[in-house]
Amino acid sequence: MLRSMASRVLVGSVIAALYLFLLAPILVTAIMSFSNDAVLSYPPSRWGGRWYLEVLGNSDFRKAFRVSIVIALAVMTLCLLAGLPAAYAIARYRFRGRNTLFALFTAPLLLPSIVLGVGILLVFVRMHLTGTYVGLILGHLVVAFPFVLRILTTSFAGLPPDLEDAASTLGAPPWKVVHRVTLPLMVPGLIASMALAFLVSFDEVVISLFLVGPTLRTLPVEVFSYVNYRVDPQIAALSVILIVVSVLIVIVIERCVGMLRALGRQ
Amino acid sequence: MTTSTATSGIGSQGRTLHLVMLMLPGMLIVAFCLILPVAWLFRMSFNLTVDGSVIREGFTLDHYVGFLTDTFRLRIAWASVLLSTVVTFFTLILTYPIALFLYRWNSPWRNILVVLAISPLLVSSVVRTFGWMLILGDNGWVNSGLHSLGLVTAPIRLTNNFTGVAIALTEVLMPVMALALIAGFGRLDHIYEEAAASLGATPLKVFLRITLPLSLPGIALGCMLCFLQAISSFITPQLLGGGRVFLIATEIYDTAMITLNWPLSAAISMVLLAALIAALFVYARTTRFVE
Amino acid sequence: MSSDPRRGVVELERLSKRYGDDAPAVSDLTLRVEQGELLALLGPSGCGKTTTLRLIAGLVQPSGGRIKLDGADITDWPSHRRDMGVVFQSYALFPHLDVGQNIAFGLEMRGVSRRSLAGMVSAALAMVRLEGYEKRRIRELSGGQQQRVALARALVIRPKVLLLDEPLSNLDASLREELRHEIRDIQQQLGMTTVFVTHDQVEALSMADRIAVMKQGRVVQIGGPTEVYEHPKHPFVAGFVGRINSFRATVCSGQPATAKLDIGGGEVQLPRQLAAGQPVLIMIRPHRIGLRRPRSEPHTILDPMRNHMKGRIRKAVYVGDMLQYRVETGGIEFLCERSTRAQSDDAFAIGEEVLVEWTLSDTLVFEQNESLEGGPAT
Repeated sequence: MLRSMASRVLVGSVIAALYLFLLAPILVTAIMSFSNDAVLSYPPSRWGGRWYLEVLGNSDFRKAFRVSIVIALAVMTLCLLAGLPAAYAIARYRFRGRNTLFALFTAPLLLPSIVLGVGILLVFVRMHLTGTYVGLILGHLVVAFPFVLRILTTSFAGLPPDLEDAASTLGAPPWKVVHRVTLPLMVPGLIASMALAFLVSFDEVVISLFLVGPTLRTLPVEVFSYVNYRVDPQIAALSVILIVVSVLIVIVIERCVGMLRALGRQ
Repeated sequence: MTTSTATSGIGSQGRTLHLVMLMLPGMLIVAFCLILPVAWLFRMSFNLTVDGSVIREGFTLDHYVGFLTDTFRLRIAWASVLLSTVVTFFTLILTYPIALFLYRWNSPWRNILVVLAISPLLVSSVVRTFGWMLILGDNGWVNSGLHSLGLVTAPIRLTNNFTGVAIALTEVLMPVMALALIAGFGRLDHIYEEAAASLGATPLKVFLRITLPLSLPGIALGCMLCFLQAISSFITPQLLGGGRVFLIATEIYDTAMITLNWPLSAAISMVLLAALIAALFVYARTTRFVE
Repeated sequence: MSSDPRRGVVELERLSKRYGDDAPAVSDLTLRVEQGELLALLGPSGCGKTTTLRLIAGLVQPSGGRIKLDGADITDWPSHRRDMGVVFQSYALFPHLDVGQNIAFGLEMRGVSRRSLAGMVSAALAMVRLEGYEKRRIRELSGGQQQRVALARALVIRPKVLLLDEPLSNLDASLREELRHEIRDIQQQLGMTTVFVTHDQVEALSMADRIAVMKQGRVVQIGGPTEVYEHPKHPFVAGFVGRINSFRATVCSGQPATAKLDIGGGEVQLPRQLAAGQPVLIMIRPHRIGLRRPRSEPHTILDPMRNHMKGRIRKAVYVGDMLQYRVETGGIEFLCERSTRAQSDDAFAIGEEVLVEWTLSDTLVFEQNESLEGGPAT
């Protein structure tokens, strides 16, 4: 729709430059991760995959990785168990205070995680939950749950109620309706919300900073502490691994419900 | 399973019980991990601190007063607000063209670009901030590039100061703005621009008189979200600032984890919360006014 | 197929449904659907016809009253036990299953064996003229095809009652007519008791054995198509089912029974005696009105069994199979319809003077206790 070739090239270049700025840190990290130097400087004198091997051999990182995976899987499961019934209720029933309740459930998205982190620290210290798996899982739950709830609510709302009525009149008792009609149609939303919950927990760093203990550390916290004191290529390699995990999840979410719908507001 | 959306049904009491059971797990999470901590913070902010780190139960406004009269802390608050405003502004400037381009562009590749604009949100902030350290550091890409081009002899300080934090934070928040703007544009129908063009408006006029005003709700939402996230951001200022950039979030962290002055940390948190609620209120009012 | 003489008899006794404090959606509804008949629930939107259907299907619980099927009280039965086939307005075909699986769904719920399934599904598809469509995906089907699959799905389970909720309203006109006949043929072939909801009176008139005209949650009149059309008991029915002319008038005293039109003051003879001074509503079907050229007729004495008025053609509209004339007579306008099969040289020109006439027996008179608009129908 633009007139001349020149203006098209101009616009294209500007947009490309903006995208480059947007993706700069990710691209730079990826490139630098293949530097074989001992110190991160540009340009690298040698290229290779040495630091990836270092990362994979680093026992601290491996342990933190395992911790993060376990917690993320637990968070994902619990979010689903809590989110499915809540989303069903919000999408299908009209009741007083429904909007307020939904706002309350999704409030953690707007609340600064630093404030939430301190608050959770104070409460969990009293309950001896700091430095425990349970504590970390609960801390991650509260920030992952809003995402799950939003996606599931949209998915439920998108199911035409006629379909469940039709199944019912064809002789399906309520549990069969859920089993044969509702859940199969909810699968994309379920997958997307599970993927997102997993990632939110896996990447969570601020609240985790308050909840980790000397023997229990998550991967993002490990990375944070490391970077706080030094900058070396090992972290670049580790970052790329984390980026790859994120990219895979983005692909899953996009194929299931679409990124815009998953992360956007109503 | 009757999917009745009206108030009829099993009997309103049975229905209420049914509803409560469905929402119970979610409500437990929210109560225990959201309401309780915030309430506790609120209570803690009034406790006394003795000798800097011993906490005694009590009621005092010392911490609030202290915060509001301490010039150091007030400067921090002011710096946070200023930084957030600047960052929000630049984020808007840099993201609006992308959103506008995506709105106008008709191509099968469009969706990929939309995903690309939003996806950085799903990459950990630590990773993204680290990337900026690689770019802005003394031995980073910017300085090395300028040096090899012969434009500078000594490295430009872009880390451990506000400048670096501002640049990185702008990029970090661009996907947030993109999400709000793209969604906002998504509600626009091309038909309005077509109508204006058919009535004789030049492309510039169409943009200024039709597109821009109609995209205002998205702009407002994006700015509000960016501002909120900027003013409460911790990771990027902490890592890029190298401990030399003091903002509200870093202050909250320091007082909680390093000086262990929990009541003070709670008080600052409450102040931040109050500021956020005020900003949300202003946003709600202005958007209603615009509509 | 069944030897049970009472198979598929639906009885609604004083059925009612309220939502909160709003006016009731269905109010004191009593009705009986006979075995094998097609009953149409006809009325404007909001009249409660869809709610009634959903009550019969068990998708909504009544606030009061009972529902009986073949003598058994099914009011408290959940919808999955009622053995009724429902075709929804949106068809409600399961998008994640193909055509064959959709149709087989009800059979699976009844535990029909895998071997018999395939045969029954293809028989059902043959009945709706969609042989070989088993593996097609729902999104590949046109509106008409989806409708037929929905019908097949509801019929394959051999329900006692078939319920159709405005199944044709999403289709375009020609398709609608074709499917109307198909559905009716199938229904009669199977002898299936059917309740059919529609707001289209042509559909109701052409398909139903009986029509229940509904308004504001109540049945205003129930009867066969001819009865409802020719002998409406209520001005609402007269006005809703088919086009009609209606005018307000006041009964005059004396014999023979006449009334004076409120507008224009013309006098109209009434088919029966009414109290003097009684306000009435006079209604005549447009195709029962004849037009004559006043001077070309040799009769000088006008037929006393007919009503006459002098008028002038204001508008003539050609709609293919019919000519619609709007005739202006002394302040009121008549809509008159004539088939174009009649001699074409008989057509009237605009502005021409004519004599409007209709027989006494075609004059519908209603005592006015409800507010209704006067004037020709649209």
